[in-house]
Amino acid sequence: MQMFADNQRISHRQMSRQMILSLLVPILLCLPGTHHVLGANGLLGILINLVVYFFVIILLIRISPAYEVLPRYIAVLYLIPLIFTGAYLLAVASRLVCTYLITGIPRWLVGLLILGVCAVGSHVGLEKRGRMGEVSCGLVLGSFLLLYVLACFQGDSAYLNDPIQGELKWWYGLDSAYMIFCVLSFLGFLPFLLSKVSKPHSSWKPAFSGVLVLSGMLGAALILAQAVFGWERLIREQFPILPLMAGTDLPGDVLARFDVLWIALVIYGLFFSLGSLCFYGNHILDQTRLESLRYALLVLVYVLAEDPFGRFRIEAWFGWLLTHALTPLLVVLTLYVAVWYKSRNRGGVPEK
Amino acid sequence: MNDQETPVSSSLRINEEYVRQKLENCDDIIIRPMRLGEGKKVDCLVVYIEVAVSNMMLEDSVIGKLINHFWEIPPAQMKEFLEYNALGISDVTEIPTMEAAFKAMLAGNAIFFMDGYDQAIKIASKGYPNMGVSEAEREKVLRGSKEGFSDSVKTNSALIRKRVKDTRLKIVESYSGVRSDTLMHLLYVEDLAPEELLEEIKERLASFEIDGVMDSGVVQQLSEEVWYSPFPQFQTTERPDRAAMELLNGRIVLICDNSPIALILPTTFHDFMKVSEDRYQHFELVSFLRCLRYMAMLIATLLPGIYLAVTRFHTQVLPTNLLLSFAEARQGVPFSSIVELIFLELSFEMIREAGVRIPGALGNAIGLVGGLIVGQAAVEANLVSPIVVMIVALTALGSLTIPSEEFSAPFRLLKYLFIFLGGFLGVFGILLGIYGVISHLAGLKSFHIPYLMPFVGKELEKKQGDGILRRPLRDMIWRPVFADEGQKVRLKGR
Repeated sequence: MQMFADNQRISHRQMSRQMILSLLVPILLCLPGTHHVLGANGLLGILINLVVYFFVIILLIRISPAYEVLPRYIAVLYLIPLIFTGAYLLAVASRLVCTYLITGIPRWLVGLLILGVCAVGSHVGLEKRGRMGEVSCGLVLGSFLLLYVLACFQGDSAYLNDPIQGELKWWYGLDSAYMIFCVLSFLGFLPFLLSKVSKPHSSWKPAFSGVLVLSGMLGAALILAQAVFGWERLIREQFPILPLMAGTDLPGDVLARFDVLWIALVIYGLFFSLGSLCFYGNHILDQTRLESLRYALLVLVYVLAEDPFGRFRIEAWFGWLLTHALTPLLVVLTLYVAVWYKSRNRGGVPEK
Repeated sequence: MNDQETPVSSSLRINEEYVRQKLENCDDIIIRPMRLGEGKKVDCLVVYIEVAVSNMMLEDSVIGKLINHFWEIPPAQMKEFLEYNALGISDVTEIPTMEAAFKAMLAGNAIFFMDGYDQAIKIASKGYPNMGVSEAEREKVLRGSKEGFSDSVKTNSALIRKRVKDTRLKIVESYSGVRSDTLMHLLYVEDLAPEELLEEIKERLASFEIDGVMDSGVVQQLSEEVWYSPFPQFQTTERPDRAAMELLNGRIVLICDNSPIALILPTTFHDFMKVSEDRYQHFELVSFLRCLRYMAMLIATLLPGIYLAVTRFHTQVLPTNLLLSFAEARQGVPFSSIVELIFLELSFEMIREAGVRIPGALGNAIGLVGGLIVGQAAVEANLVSPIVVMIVALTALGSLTIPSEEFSAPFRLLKYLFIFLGGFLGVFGILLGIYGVISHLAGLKSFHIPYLMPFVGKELEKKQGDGILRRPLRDMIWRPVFADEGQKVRLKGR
């Protein structure tokens, strides 16, 4: 006799949905604000990344067993991108909440509440995050699709034929490809998760389908944003998806404005992304037996996000930090782990 | 028999002394010495609880027939008669220890001692008085059986056996409560319920020791894995047909003596949103009603919080006319909208609580009249605005639409959390709450089954076809996730 498989593992579906939900909002919110990840060059960048990430995912899956026996000095280095990205997302979420959702509440308190709710229970286990992803992803993705459909009615095809945008420049294309690569580089944390995914060797399919969905959503957002705003306005927006949301209403005059609901959707997505970062942080700390640093990690994220001394505004620096330090660090770490694992494996199966 | 137990003596005098000492000041228990056998030469003793053993037993009960027979046979044959159970009735059983004899007597049986015989005889009787089978009050249905569980565990098990006439339906007896010694029945279908699950349930039941178990709710709370969660991790029912159906789904039913509520386990979020007639009705209607129930659940939890968030922080969301009518309705109300809402919500909770405690038709009247009068009077006294009365009424309706009372309770509590979050932090607060609740629910399990099962594990749900939308019965071939892997097919040859 056998009962339901309570095997402390997540399914392919849960893995893919978790990936999508963790990256969807950061990608849609932050990428189109960077000039070159717009228009035709942005679409070219997406296509290039689809090819690149096909191979990256296969590499990550092949070296995933190494992440179960990772030496402490390597694992700890993975915390660096988590801390900075967590701080950035927290700062963005706090700013969006204070700008669009609530006034009169100090930003430090908003940040504290967000970090608190995202961090509570994030150490419990991957299964829980898998279930959260599976439950929430359909709603979030469905709502974004609804937004896209409704935004279609506001678009003007004339904006798509803008001559400036029609021009493809290989350098801009590569630049936008690198930007997208940088944001998707957080898939470098995927191997930590793969040991707890059922059938890890065939998990390239859900992982790649996750990348496909994210690319599709980003591509559609780029086209829609340009169709609605035109190139001239688009390049001046920091978060073009937000004005797109502000102008999108449901038919039927049910409510006067829907922007609050769309913003709520974005904030929920950011909660999930932050929760995922907290989860990976806890996972790495558990693996390296540094659990006692759990709260210190959160404090660090909070201090970096809130910048109490006004010395380091993470929102201003994060783009540079991501492209010049964090992504290269993740790439180097991944390659190092691959080489380390191969050399270790020469002598037989690695110890656990 | 262990060392601490007292064996039944062959001397009736010793036995009687022991019985009288133990049962001192127990005036409800009758200790009846008698002399039986031809010539009335053998001393005997019958011990029983007065109301549990019929006074008319001499004519029509086992003990009556036994005593009648003993009047006619020689003393020498009496022992032989008992040893060979000459009455041929299995309910007459020998008991070697005094402790077991007391236990049997306290369970509502008569105990018979005979001088020169070192065993006590348990003679089954009608047992304690109880209410008998009555209509299920909490789970009313339009279609399906009207029978509900009674207070007697044996009657309840029989009601299930009546519906599942299969020797593979197993009923395991156990006792809980050091002083109450409450009888419990664990019911399962042998090849449908997974063995690991059964073992775990038995372990959990054995893991605590409490003085008294007066209702299945005590067992439920002591066996729940996540004790602090307001969400019930055991499903309950007072309907034998529901319990029988769940047994066929591979689940396990636990019935407690003196409780008309059976526990069904494991359970999931979605199970609480189903009613027993969901299986008897057409799939379109069932799917619609399930959607309605989920909508009601959201309304019951979120509506007051969202109202506060929108009216206090995000008025731009509302159409101007609606906003103006809200403002007009609130004119003259001295309190803030949070105070206004909490005041009315608590008033409704009090009316509801009073309605439950007051018996019969008066309770219903209190609910209806109380709600109308308090609402109307509060509006007229400018204590609350009419829109708040409507919000509270809709919330209450939503809460009552959730089929399970115990499952609606956490949403009733969460409603207050969302009132504070929405009232003080607007939509941001509501988001924090929703994320927190989803995070909590995602971490819950009931005996290894994820609590959010129909919403996670979509592949399984799709196969089973009993999610929020239900497939036609002819397509519901598979048993749910609870059933043993080897017995998944429920329907063949449709």
